[in-house]
Amino acid sequence: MHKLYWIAIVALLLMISRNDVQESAQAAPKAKGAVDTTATTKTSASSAAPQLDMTMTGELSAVEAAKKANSMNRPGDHNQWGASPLRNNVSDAKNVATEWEVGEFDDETGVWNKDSSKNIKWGIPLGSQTYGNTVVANGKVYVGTNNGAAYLKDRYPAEIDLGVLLCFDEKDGKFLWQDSSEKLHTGRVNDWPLMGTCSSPLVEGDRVWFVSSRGEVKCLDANGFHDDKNNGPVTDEKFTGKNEADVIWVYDMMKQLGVSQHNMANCSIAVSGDYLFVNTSNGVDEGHLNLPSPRAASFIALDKNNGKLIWSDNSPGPNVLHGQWSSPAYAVLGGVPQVLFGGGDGWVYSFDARGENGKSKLLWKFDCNPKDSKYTLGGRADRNHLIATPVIYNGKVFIGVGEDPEHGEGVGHLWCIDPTKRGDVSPELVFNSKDPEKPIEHKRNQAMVKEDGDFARPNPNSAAVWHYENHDFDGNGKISFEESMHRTCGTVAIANDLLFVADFSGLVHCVDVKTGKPYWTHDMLSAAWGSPLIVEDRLYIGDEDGEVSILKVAKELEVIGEVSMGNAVYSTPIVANGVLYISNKSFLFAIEAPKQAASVPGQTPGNVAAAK
Amino acid sequence: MKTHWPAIVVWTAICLTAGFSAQSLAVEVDPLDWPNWRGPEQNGISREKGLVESFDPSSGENLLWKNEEAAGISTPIIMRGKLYTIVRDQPETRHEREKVLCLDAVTGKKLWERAHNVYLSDVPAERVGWSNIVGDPTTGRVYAQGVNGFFQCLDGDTGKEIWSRSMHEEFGLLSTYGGRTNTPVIFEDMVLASAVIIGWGDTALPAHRFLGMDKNTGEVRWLNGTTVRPEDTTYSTPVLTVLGGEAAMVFGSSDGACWAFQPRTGQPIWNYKMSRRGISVSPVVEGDTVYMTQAEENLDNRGMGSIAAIKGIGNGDITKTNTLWNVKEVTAGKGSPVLLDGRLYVVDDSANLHIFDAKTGKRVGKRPTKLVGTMNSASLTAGDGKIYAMSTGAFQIMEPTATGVKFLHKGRLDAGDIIIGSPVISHGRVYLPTPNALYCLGTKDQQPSADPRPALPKETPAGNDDQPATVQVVPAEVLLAPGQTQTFKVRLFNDRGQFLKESSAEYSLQGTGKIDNQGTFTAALGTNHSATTVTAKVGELQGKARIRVVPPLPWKFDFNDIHLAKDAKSGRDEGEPPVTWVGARYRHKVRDVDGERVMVKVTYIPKGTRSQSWFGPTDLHDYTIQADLRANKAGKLPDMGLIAQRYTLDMMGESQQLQIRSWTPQVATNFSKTVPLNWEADKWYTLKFSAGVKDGKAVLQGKVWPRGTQEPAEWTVSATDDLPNLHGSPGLFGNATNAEIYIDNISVTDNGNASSPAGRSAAK
Repeated sequence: MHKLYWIAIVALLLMISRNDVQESAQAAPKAKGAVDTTATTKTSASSAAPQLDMTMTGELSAVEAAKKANSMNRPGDHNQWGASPLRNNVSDAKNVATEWEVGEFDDETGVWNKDSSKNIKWGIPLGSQTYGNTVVANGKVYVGTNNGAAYLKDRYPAEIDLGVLLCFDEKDGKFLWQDSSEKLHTGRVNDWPLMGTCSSPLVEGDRVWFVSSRGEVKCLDANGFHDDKNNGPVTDEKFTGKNEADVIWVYDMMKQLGVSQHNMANCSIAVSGDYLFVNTSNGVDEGHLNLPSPRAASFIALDKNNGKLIWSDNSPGPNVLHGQWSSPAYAVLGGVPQVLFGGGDGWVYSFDARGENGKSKLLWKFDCNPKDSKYTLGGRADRNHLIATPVIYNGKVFIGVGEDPEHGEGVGHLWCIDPTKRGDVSPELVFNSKDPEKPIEHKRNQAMVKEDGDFARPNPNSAAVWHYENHDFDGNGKISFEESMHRTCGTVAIANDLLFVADFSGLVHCVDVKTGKPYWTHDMLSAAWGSPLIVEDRLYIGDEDGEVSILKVAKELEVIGEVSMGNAVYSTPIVANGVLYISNKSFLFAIEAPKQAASVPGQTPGNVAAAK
Repeated sequence: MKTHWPAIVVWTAICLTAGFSAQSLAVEVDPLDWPNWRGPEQNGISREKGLVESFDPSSGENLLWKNEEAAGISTPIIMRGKLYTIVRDQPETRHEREKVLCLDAVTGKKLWERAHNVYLSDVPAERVGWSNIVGDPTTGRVYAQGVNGFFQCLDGDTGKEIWSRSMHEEFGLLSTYGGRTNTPVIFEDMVLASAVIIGWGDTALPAHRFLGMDKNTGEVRWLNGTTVRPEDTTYSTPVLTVLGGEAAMVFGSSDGACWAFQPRTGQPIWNYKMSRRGISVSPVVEGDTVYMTQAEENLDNRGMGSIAAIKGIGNGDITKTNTLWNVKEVTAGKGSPVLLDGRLYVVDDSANLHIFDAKTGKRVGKRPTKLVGTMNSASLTAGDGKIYAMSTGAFQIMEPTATGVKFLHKGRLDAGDIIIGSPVISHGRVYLPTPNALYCLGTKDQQPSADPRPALPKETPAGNDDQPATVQVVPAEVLLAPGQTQTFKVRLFNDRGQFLKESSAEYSLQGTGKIDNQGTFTAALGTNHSATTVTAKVGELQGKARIRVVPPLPWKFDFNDIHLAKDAKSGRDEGEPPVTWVGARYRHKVRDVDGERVMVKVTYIPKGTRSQSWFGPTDLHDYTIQADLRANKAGKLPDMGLIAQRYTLDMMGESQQLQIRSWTPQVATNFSKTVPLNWEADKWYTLKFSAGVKDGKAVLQGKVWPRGTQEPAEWTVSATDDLPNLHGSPGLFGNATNAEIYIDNISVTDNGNASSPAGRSAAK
């Protein structure tokens, strides 16, 4: 009896998951403006059908994956957000700085005095707000920011608000070119003032792809106009000076998919072979309840060579709670090429990266929130969505839930998910007493409403390997603030089977990657928006007070250092070719340990262990 | 129950009103009251002694009571033994509203409450009760600005309404999702309220504007604002003070500047530019020095956030000339500072306490002091030599030391959410508003005592300058029916904005109607919707008042008489919507489209492509509004709709729905009705919306059909609201962010309901 019951449930689930796939495929945007439909025919008909990278497997180490990701670049490059499509920001560089001083800025002019700095290779002014994470490839450094630094001041003085992508020379920080996105006339509902370009580019060889603040996927020439060529198909750029961007192609998600991104388009593109994977950022309108484009795609695959749409999917549909700002990850998992998206409804979605007949093919989906959790505005809400990027480590998927940081610290959940199951692999399923055997459809603000007769049962097909929410470290029977996981927009970093994530409350959590058991939390006393970097046996993480904490990658908490960056660090530190890059709101620093004074792992510089 | 005061507490009014009008001198004012959210001195400082130094919410140490109904984001006030706040009414229920709540300040027991609908607003329930109540110590009345723009003057003892105004329908107040709502202030016989206003005529462009109103009647004395097209909505509360002998209201504005206005006339005195974004912090004023902080981009493009000490004497733009000191890159954009014993204490938005020498701007201590948590929205409060601070979800009590502060108490509260309200001190008690509860701290047997308040700077006596400089025509803004009369008064002020006398004047009109030499205006008869400006000339000086004349129903607007002229910017022939409509110009233009003269909701403005506009009196009910609407073909469909009796009927383009609602963000949980509706671009539709009142409920019906075809007999959508809006101005809703909306042939007609005729109880 009992056994039969479960078999029935599993059968139902399989049916449901199949239905989901069909529905989502049917719901691909049609007749909404100029939707590009040529791509579907191309993929099946053209001889140059886009190919996936089947060697990027989920079992690769972070460092191996990063090397592979840079096969068209230099081996020590950091060519994309999260170092590779596995998104695990780990570097094998040696002799990376643990001590530095950013030095002084003139009170009157704001000019940086390099001579007052220590271990800084170079520093360059960015805009007034910087959320884009640094990328380094083939001798160039890229960063998204706003127009505060006005590198093209004749055309765009600092008073003109823009989203910009800046390109600098890796060796000396010399400015090379800038891609400029004027603010959308639709205003802050789609393009928040002064937020700049929030995404990180992807660079392979001489091509750069990124998502602009205007909701476009743009392909640029890494060499800009420095190669004295206007590369196309786009050759009608109005400005073709050396300091301008050479645009290759543009895919306008607002126009071509009908997307309405909430406040900002943000996605750091994932790549596999010829495929680009993009979260469109589709979200709510000014009223914050209504989705102005409920049928527009949320997740798409484009051909990186020409920007043609390969497949699209709008799975979160009308259940998007606020915005969708999570970036995708990619890996071959269980033999299947999977692209993983964090949805604005709080679910992780995995698709067969190839799609199927030009349509999306859902493999599994996982609700990262408890079923009775409820979405409201502010810190009280316990249903969250996903802003962090899924990370793949040892064939498993890791992600924490989050919200707009302005809405408060809230409660958090961190998950380890097995990506080999199929269908709805959430920990629980929701039923209604009217038909207690049939799982009900997901409800946007609260999946399970007790008053309506809803109830939840454990899902026999759950893919949850473990779940971390809190831990009673002091064993007093109570869970204190410092013992809890809070909302995060930070992405995890994992090395030596230790997972690290920082939350909005400024707590850094160290969790056993196999069991989900936390070893320690460390309070930075300031909110973290960024994500950790792991290099050698150290973890680097920035906070809103502008401090970078350096912690030991170990089961026991050890604070190696705390370095002030001058103002808030909302970005994630990265290492490329042995150099550490950290941006605060308005400056990017290339940080390099002196060649002679190599810091020995485990040996802490003096005066650093002092807690704040 | 009444509190018994120790002898040291003297009932007096001298401090409060020193230098200001004589009118309030006769009334006894309790100096231990806290009649506005920043306290009796408007700077977060209490002169009381013997205040608590610790608090344990779990053991109840020093907890006198807590009240969960008074939980919220508003900071309460204390006046005449009562506590007033503005909070969510019946949170998370279908009947949720906003309410003014009055508690016994000693026991925490509810005395009365007064709830109102959050009609025609984008503010979500979680941000209801954003602003703070202000009390008038001389009358005991309280004033509340609701998040949607509903403004009330209430009797402090009973909660009975003395008067109210619907600031969005009447003046064009902007009520946005962010919820930022300004707190009114009392000055002499006026109440001063503000918002970003997109009004009519010469207030049609958006600006942060103040309404100087007669506190007894709500009559408008002046309406004036700062730079047009500001970037943000803001919520800085003005500080009423005296700068260089001149009465001044000093505030941070939506345009990114700190401004000083003359409070009696609304004339600007000076402005000090700080950011391209808006300023929400309230200033602290000490002597002639104004301290202001902000957290956005600095104008010299040097990072974000600054603290300025401004010499508050000057005229015009004093940005370059009046900086005493300026510290950059401290981002304090939410909580207001306190100035205590020569030090300025500032908490930035990430909950770091910075301390500066108030004279020099020199930092005290090497580094800022970390408060508990990662965010700060609350303002500092000081009393008894201690500083009370609430950050994120925590409460701390600090004591100044030579190098900074030391913590007497530090701990998390069970706040449930981000704390936004600030501590309040009155009669020996400390009140902490949090999202879970309002806590009252103190000891049972405490005897309130206080040091005397420092004397306020005095205005230069008015008699020193009896030369008129400003002519005020009151009411400055009025809505009349044809044939209705209104007598205007002319009031003269000297250069320092001091009232001199009422005066006769030479009146002239721009527009229709008549005015006699006593200032009595009679609106022209007829069915025109028109605007008239009254100019009162006194010698070489003149002042103006604005009149809208709106006839009784029925109304018809086809735009055919609107003159088009070539617009220099667009190169198109364009005209302006009817002058009397609130919130319509700037967001709409009249154009010829396919040979038909229509009103177009434009897409090209940076803000306001999604907006509401209103046609006239707010007391209309039982009427039907009809219009022809068409969406221009673009990538996406717009939303387009009509407003009747404070309800919206919305043809939602991308959702392909027809929806009746009033409180937009709450349609899923509160009153609304939605039906599917297929419609397309480039096709005219006729939309009809009938609103009425039956058996105490609002009855709402809407239908839509292709223009030129037979009107269907059945309504497409019908709904009954048992928490009804009983009256309201007809108007328009539209979201043209993605595509233009064409509007034509608007009519508003009486429903002919004999028991409840469409009508106006009284013109305002």
